Amino acid sequence: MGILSTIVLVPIVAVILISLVPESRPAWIKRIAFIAAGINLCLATWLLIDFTIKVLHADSGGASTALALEYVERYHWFEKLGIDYFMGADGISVLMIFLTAIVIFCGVCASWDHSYRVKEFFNFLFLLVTGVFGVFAARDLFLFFLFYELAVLPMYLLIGIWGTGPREYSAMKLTLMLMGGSALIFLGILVLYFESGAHSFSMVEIGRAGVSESTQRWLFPVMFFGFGTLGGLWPFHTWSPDGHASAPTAVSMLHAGVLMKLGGYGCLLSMYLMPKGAIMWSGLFLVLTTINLFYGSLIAVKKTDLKYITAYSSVSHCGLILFGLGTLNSVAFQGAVFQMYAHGLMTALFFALIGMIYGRTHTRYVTEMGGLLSVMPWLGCAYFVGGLAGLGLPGLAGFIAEIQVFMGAFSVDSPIVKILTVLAASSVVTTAVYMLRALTKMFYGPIQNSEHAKLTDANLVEKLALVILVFLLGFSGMFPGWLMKIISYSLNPIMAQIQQIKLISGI
Amino acid sequence: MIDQFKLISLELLLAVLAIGVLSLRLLIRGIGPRLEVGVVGFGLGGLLILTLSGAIPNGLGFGRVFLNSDAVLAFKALFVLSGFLVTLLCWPFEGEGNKPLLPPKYNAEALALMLVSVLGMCIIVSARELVLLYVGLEMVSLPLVILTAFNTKDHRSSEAGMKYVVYSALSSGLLLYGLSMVYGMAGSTYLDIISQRLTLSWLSILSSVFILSGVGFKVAAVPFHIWTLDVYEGAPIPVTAFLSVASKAAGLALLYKIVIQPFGEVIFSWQLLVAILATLTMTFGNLAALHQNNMKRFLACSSIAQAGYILVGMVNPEPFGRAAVIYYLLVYIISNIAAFGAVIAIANATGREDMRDYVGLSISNPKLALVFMLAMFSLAGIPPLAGFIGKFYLFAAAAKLGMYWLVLVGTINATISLYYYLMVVKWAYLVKPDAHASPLQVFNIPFVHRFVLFVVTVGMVLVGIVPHFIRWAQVVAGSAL
Repeated sequence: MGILSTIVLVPIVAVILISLVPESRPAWIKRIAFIAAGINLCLATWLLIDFTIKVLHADSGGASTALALEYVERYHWFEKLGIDYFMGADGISVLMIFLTAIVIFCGVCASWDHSYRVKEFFNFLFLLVTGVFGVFAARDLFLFFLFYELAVLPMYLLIGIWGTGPREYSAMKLTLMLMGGSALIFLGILVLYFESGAHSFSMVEIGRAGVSESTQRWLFPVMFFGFGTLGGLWPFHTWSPDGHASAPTAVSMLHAGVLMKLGGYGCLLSMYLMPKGAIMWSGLFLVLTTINLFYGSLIAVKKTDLKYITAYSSVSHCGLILFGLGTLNSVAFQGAVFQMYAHGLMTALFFALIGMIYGRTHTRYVTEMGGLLSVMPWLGCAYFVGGLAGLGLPGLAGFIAEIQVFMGAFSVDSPIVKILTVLAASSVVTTAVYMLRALTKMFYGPIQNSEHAKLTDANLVEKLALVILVFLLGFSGMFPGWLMKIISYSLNPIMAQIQQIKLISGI
Repeated sequence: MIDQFKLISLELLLAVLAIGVLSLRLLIRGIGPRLEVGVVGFGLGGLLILTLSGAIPNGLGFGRVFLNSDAVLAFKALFVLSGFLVTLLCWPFEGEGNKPLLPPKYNAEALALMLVSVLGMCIIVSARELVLLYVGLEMVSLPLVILTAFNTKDHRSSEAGMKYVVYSALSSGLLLYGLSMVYGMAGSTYLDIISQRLTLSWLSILSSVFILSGVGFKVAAVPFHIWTLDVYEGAPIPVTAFLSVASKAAGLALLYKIVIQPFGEVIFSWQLLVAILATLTMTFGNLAALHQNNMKRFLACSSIAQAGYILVGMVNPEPFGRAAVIYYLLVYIISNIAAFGAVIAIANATGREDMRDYVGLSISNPKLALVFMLAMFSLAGIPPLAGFIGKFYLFAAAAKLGMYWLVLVGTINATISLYYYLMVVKWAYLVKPDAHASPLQVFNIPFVHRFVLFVVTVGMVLVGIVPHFIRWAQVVAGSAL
């Protein structure tokens, strides 16, 4: 069994083990969850390092349009339908698997104080994670879709049972909107299969066979909107603020940190499978994602509930991912993929902190907090780093992503794209407004509520989660080179396809 | 002669079993419903193994009226499987406060009637001749009418029986009228001759409409579904379960035999007709289910929608489509039995049928709640449960013909259906018990019932992951039906 299957299997084993532990022993359940997440983190780290070494030794890839896959496992599954159990990873999925492992590990740490129906909580959480790992590792569209739905559905229970506020409403809205998106993807996968004539659901074969231009013309927006729903594309983003605000801490972390990236990842995938469609439709998506960037950050300025602020900032930041993809420029592509990673770390950090702060102050309203830095310096400092990364301070991961996306977009030879880029880039200013305002209100000034003075700082497990996330934000912000190398190596096939078509059609 | 009897051995044994269980109480004094259920359960289990083992020969017999092939035997196996599972669900609950769903005194009669109905279904799929086919059809319907009205003390049950008898008589009439036109055109009652001699004419179109409406009633396809909700609600729950799985499967087999095969070559746009029927059925079933709170009505609507999905696969008459339909029928039977098993357990133990009264289920009976949730997810088509690949296969069958709009309708419908399936999960899982006046308390489920639930739950997971079931469907779909 290969490493990718192992990574997918570890959470399933954890689910089985947790099911065997009686409900009356929550400590054991948490220990199992912690160990399983730890094992996954080790495996994912090894995967990232190993892949980096491979890339450094490989030649520059050239202009091949075939996906450069490593760690391939392929077995027949439903032969006559052309469905294989096909796993394989390129640089982007390796990076995303690493991100997922980090977020789930920190998520388990952040939900250490959970006490209501602990067993089911961790069961559903690990089921969800199985799905996420699977999506990034799967190379067969059927398998991909299977994991994709598996990643979405447990969310309903996780938000519905353990959430806060209008949890039932939020859970239903989120599930239905995402499933509506996946209905489009489902259609897309079947059309790709039958139109390409590849007799296989494998991305490699469908990518090689290709589909006709007329099919790409209508199918690309279908797939893009399907994935875009999960990626927070305006106007299909409305599930995200409600869902994130109602979800329990670990679930918000996973959802905003990793799950929304599935959308971007899927968009990238459909661009690889339908490059002509991507070129045809890029204009529309640039406009939509520019609205995304603006709209998200403007609403975030108006909000005082911390979770809503972060949720809308996620909408804005995920818009940046899709914006970068819409430009069809290799530098912006790199930035977009890097933004997936950086934003995953950032939001996970934010939601973890919000969970921890809420657990202490029992309020999420910025207006009811103040001077918390003196009471909880650890949480305050971590929030500070996260906030600065969010508004794109150089030296932190967010900056690298933003600058690449905007530079790449601006270098596109089209005045409209340039104007849109300027518009999109100016949303950084609004981002600074809400980030800094929340920071100063919460952590500086006098203590608003005398009860808050008695609160404690982060405990050991929480500190572990925070340290990991803050460290990675800084580390990948200061040494992005090797990550960029992996990303650009894996983007080569997609870029090569787009370049070819542009050359042929003379655009 | 012996060969001929080997051909109908399954039907003979079913008849023997039906008569046997009826006379059991006459032969042995003081026998309880448990033993009767046990006998029929073992009998049907044995017959299921017999059907699948390949001991029943393939071929035509009795002057070309009776056909056994892999596909026919597969349908028979599905009927026997649903009979087997429903029989075991009739196992009486013990203890205080239980409300038996079937009158215990007449348990043997209920089981015998169900067996006769299964026998009729087996005859329908085997028949190659219209008269035999019609006899089989009536053998299916009449026992079901009696079973629907079985709880004579419950006025809902009598009402349902009345409605069912009226509608099934009407549908039989329509069907017969259409069949008689077919006979007039083809001059023969043999199906193979009919499909050769039929040509495109106004009469053949008219007769196909009559036949399609008659079969539509059996499948409960919209607009021929009006009887479904009330009948499903009024009938005793095990009977509802049987109606929703076996009788639906039989109706779909009938659709293949007397609509798609004879008329398939004649009326070139029949695919569009079936596609429209599928669209209506799915959409109506899903929209109607949104507002149901009674679990029986809810599952009735859900089963209408499920029939719509199956009709999507029927659009493709090639073995690819047929394999998808057979596979999905298997998936649907086990998933629906799992759902009904949970509903029966709750109704037996507490008498509750309203989903709003399921609050607290996940805390007091976590295992039952899990089975229930998995059943809902399987019906909704959520991976890795069997319903997912089943739907995938059905929609792929339509996509293979390039009917992408139908696939889109299907997937959108699947999303709508998710809403109401999740509503059930909401009452069982999400709503906190202290928000309800009397949340469900812990109750016991007898071993046999737990066994059925365990089998179907394992089935829902395995059928969706292990490729052997799909391979089986693909192999049997290649043969004549």
